[in-house]
Amino acid sequence: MSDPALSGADWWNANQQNYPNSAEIADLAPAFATAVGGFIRALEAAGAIVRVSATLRNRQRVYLMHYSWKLAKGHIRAKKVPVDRAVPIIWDHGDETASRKAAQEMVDLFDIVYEPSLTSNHIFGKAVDMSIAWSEPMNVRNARGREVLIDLPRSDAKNPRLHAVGATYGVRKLLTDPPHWSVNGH
Amino acid sequence: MSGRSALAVAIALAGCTAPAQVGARTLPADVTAFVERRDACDHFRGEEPYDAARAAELKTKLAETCTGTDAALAALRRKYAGNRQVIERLSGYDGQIE
Repeated sequence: MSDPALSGADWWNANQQNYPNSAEIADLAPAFATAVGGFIRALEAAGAIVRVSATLRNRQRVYLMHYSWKLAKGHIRAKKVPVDRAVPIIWDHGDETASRKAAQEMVDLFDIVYEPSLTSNHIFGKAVDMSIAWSEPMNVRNARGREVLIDLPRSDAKNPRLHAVGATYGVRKLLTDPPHWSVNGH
Repeated sequence: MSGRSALAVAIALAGCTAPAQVGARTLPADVTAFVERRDACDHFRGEEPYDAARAAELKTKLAETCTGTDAALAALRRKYAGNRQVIERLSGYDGQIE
């Protein structure tokens, strides 16, 4: 890890790529990775095309986003930002106005509009964003070994039979967010 | 009626109403509406875009579900300051996400 440096646009440009999110199933929490893997294998065996876009969110990246936002908005003082030993950043510029300005530069680069949450299932490896497409009726084997006919509507966000099959694997649909599935539907 | 029988009748009568509905009904409608909207906001605040289409989708959803919720939360906490059940239900929400 590099030596700690002052926060701001320069820090972001030099370091943010060190904290990438993942789109790998293997990076999920072990039990959920097994569940998602089983569901996807069953879908692909039935002819579906599955594209995984996001799995585990990087904790340090979330930390940077959350506290740059809080500091920029004046909801926390620079001296009070908790230390994450895995992130070589100095939030306190010795002057609150300068600290907030540097944090705002990072907020702008992250393109944050509202306070980023620290409690997403993605942070704990218990959520996946994916698209599932099929062009003809398909029989998908659920986790109990029973084949379930899935046809219309051909929308992964709106097909309750697809959601029910996912649930047998422990992969539950959040209805309000089309690509999002998780361990508990949140 | 013995005390035990009376208790059994009370439990049976209580069982006539689904517990989930009891909880939902006791919360005022404006609180229930806030909880539904803010839970959606909190979900989308936990997502980070992976491409341009997702970025646009998240911006739209965040604007729909989050805008105005700081003020709404503060107003509900003032309005129901004397209602312990409402205050407890709202206690987990961050008051400064905007």
